Amino acid sequence: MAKKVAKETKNVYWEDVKVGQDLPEKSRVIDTTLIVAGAIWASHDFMPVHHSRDFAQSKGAPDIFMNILTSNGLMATYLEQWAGTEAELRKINIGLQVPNFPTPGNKMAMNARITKKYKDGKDHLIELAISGDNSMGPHVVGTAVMALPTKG
Amino acid sequence: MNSSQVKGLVGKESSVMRALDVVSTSDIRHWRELMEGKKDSWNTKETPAPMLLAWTMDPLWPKRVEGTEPHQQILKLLEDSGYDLPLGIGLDQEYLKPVRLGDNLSYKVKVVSVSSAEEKMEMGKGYKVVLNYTFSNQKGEEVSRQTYTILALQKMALKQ
Amino acid sequence: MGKENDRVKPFSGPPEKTLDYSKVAHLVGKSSPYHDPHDIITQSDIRHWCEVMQDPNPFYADEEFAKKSRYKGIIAPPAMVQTWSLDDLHYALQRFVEGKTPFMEDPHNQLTGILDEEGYTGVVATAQEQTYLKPIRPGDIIRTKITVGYVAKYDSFTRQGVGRYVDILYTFVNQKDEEVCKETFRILKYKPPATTRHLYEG
Repeated sequence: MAKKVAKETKNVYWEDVKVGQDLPEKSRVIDTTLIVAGAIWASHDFMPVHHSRDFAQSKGAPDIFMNILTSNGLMATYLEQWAGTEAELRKINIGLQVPNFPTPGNKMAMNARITKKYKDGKDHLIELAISGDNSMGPHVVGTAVMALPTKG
Repeated sequence: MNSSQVKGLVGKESSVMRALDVVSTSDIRHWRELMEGKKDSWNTKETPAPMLLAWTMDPLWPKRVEGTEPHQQILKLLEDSGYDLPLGIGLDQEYLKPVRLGDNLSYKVKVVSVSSAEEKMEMGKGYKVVLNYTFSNQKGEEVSRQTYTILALQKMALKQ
Repeated sequence: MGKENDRVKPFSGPPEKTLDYSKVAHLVGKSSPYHDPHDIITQSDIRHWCEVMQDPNPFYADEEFAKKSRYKGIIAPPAMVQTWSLDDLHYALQRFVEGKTPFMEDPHNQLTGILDEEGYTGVVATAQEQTYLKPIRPGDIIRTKITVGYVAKYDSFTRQGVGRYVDILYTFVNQKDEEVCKETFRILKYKPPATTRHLYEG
């Protein structure tokens, strides 16, 4: 329990990050549960390719696959959890390549690198290049902008 | 496909549409639990910004009457020509203001562009449709601007 | 006549081990504490339920209409009451995938633990009865108490195999501690046929 609290209050400060810095990699197991719950439960997306194997296969896909809102949400969460509660995600831009299928053992490894550090008015911002790779190759490639807290 | 009909829809914006649900603690928590994992409590006062498009999704029931908004018309034209598998392939989201519990979102959708001819993509052959979403809250404040790229495919054809 | 005899072989295996009721008697009548729900009742969860059920009832959706009704406001479909007491995603995966039962100290979980150990590893719901006492509404916080109501003293021979009937009682209360629903849930905990195969030979 104590560990959990410590994790929640951790913040990354703008002064402490530098351009070129890589965020620690995190991965999520890609299974049927995550794909179906992500589509139906979290993002209310009932397109059957995200929950019906038969339907997906009738459309030429080998299996159901993740909807873009879940992919985007996973990447955003990865960034927010790294930065801590004081940070704000301002912008995220993603493109999808190979889909996230629930193949046995499939995982999406999420990575990010700080590409720019700048001020804009009162905001202390960083820009990041982000990626999520599954066992077939790159699933998500994109960029994000976050405002970080300062030590004041 | 009637390409002049499709072209005529480019640049057109929908009327203001309203989210079916007011932003609620349960919807926020469902999203957060899936994304953030188990916690003793979740922040259910503010919406995770990436979640906004969830409030634009069609209901499972009752089936929406055939859409007459420009973006709905374009997807229908593509569907009628056999490109009936619309997949989200790109998102660009800008968050302008926090979306809070109890907010009632509304949104407009503008058709930015459509491929002039069938394109060959990683996932198969189809047409790319780029849409701009503008989200506002009940006070009329813009909360987010998003670009959503949809690939309307005939069939998924993945090179292994 | 001969054929008839061929179909069922006379009992020939060793005697079946059966549950000694005294192992579970102390749990009967015992209740869990009240557990909090994963969510308070929201209008959006109600709407999602109605989407799936295809239920256009205006009491669940139309504020104006519901205000003028005897309910004086929107209510949730009564049959939805148990959804708020089900495991959240995390506990459900723990229970069904990792095989770790959350709230193991609850009497009904102890009971199923003992039955599992005794070989009654299968489970099938056979009956459910809900009595609705008060309407539930958006904003309500539904808490749940789970009681072991009954465990059969002897085995039953069922289509599923040899098993014991168990009644689990649910009591649902709202934030004012008013009972909103009482439920009896009858399950059969059974020994999967592989372990009682000789009964079915022939």
